[in-house]
Amino acid sequence: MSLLKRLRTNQIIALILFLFSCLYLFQAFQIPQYALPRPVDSDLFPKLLGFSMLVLSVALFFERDKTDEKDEEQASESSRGEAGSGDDTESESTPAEPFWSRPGTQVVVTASAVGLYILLLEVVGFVLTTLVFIFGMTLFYGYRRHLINGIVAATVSFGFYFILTRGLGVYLPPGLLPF
Amino acid sequence: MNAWENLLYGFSVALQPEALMFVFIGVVAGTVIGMLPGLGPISALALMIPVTYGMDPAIGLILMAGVYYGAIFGGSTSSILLNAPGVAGTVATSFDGYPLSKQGQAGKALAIAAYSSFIGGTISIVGLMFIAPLLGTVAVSFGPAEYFALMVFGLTAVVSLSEKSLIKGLIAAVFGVMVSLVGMDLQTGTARYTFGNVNLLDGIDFLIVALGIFALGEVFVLLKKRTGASKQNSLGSLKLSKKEMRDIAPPVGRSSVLGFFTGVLPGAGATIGSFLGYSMEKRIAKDGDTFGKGNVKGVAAPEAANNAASGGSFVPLLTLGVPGSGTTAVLLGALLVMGITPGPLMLEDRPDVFWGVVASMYIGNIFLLVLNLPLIPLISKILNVPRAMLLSLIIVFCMIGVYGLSFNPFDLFLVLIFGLIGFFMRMNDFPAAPLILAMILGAIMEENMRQALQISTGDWMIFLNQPISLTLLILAALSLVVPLVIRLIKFVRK
Repeated sequence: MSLLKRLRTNQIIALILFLFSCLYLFQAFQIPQYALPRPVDSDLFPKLLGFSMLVLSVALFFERDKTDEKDEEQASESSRGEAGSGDDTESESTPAEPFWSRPGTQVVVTASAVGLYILLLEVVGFVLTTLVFIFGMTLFYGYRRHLINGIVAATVSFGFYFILTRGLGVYLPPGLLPF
Repeated sequence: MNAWENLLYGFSVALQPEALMFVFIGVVAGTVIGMLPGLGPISALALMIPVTYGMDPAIGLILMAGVYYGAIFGGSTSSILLNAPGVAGTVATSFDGYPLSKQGQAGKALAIAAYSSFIGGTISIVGLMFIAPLLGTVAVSFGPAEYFALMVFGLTAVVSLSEKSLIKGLIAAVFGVMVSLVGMDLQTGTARYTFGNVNLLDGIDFLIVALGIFALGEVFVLLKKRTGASKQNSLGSLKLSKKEMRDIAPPVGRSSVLGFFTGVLPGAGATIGSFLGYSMEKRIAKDGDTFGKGNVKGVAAPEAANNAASGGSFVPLLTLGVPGSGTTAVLLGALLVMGITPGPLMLEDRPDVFWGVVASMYIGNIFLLVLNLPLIPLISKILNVPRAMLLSLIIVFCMIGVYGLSFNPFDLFLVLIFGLIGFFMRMNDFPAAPLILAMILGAIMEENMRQALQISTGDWMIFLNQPISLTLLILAALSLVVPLVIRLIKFVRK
């Protein structure tokens, strides 16, 4: 851990990319040869790319750029974030902010919710998952006018379903609903 | 048929009632999406591609042209009203547009933006009409070696001109090519990087990557950075005085021409065009010191230049079939979805499509002026729609778009993965344009490289023996080396 802490963000990314290129190259060498001999086989281009990425990851390890400057700024002003464009009405996160409304949490929850949406889409159906997703996420992002939220969520989910399936002949999973 | 007759034919297609309706829908949808901070023409085009499924290609194209111009104008709108440029291409507009808006003259700034964009667009379309056929005749003689070299140059140019780190740009480009190779190799039938998953055999569709990185990824960035909620200034009148018209006319003319030629160069495009236009006018103008404080010329110049550059960037796309920017790369993807392959042969074989595109671009431009401008007070209300709701709606649009393409939830998971990749790229200053360009060019690049090597029976000198490919490869190398040399000189001087 102490070693990781001493590394700059770019260097950590460089290490990940280095490992990635090694795996990519390993896979490139596994690509089977074509039965007939040809001047260029399927494996040449991937090998070129793998080696390029390997060289670039090493170069990134030694480069300093904006990301590193940001790191250093953050380290020096540990509590104060970067100022916004001046007119942002919402302020940067403060320690008193509840866990669920912090930006990082919102990203993780959104990504998980999208994952869940995909899993349930074909089982529960397009209309119900979309309705719950729009209503739930809008609520989660802090919108408190539930009636409007509900009307928009219902209009979008039913509207898209009927326009696409009935109007344009595009299939969407009906799921639990009978139509 | 000569160019004018072709263009007239293009207009006859683009002026059908159905086409007019779709260009209107496109312009409005593009404006709305382009207005959202963080979402620009690339996101707007990617989000609208699914709408064109099953449409007549000509109508689909007209819709996309509307979306494209609408998104550029929408970006200017948010630059002027909120000081929150949707994309890099409209950053220069905010320098004087936002001060004007703070003085209660947002309407005037928007009107200037619309007029200047219109003129910039018009000049670039005239330029396209003359230059494209010329370039097309040269491009017909291109063999695989030349195409490969051209694509390498296109990629390195985009990488070297992105304001971020050169190495990160190259990493993004190499990763993009890697993504494009996933799936079955069309020449040998060998599966590459599919890990035994049948869903990957057909490769990863570009729309998945485009929507993941430019729509879902941007949603994550908006959540993390909390942008989007700003106070909007009042619009004021949309009318311009005669003096103001006279003031902006010369800068608009100059910046349009400059912007067009910047756009033709691969990689340069709207961002550099608009900054060049802005700084040129600041230097030329007698009242150059008032630039940045709400000078009308400071809005007119970058707007004319960025629209002219957008038109100019169509030259390499339509004549060579090689996009020179992220936006035109997505547009190329959209064209391919509609079964249209741009390139030198398109001009000869399908002049109707080529001129149809030109005409529809022009119609998009006119609609922007005639319909969008008066609707601005209404459209700007969109900015009052709660950010919370917009974000959830954008996510759902991404999902519907991709599901409608393949009916496969696996692809939706890929969108999520690319969304997260796009998010990490943005948070760590990796440019996204090289990735999407490389993703679209990657497979074609490999194909051309292999064809060239097959012709030369494996001799790599084929890329250096041909004068055109040699020149292009030297340009590609220079585009990467020159920024490094400039940095070195600056470093030594310090």
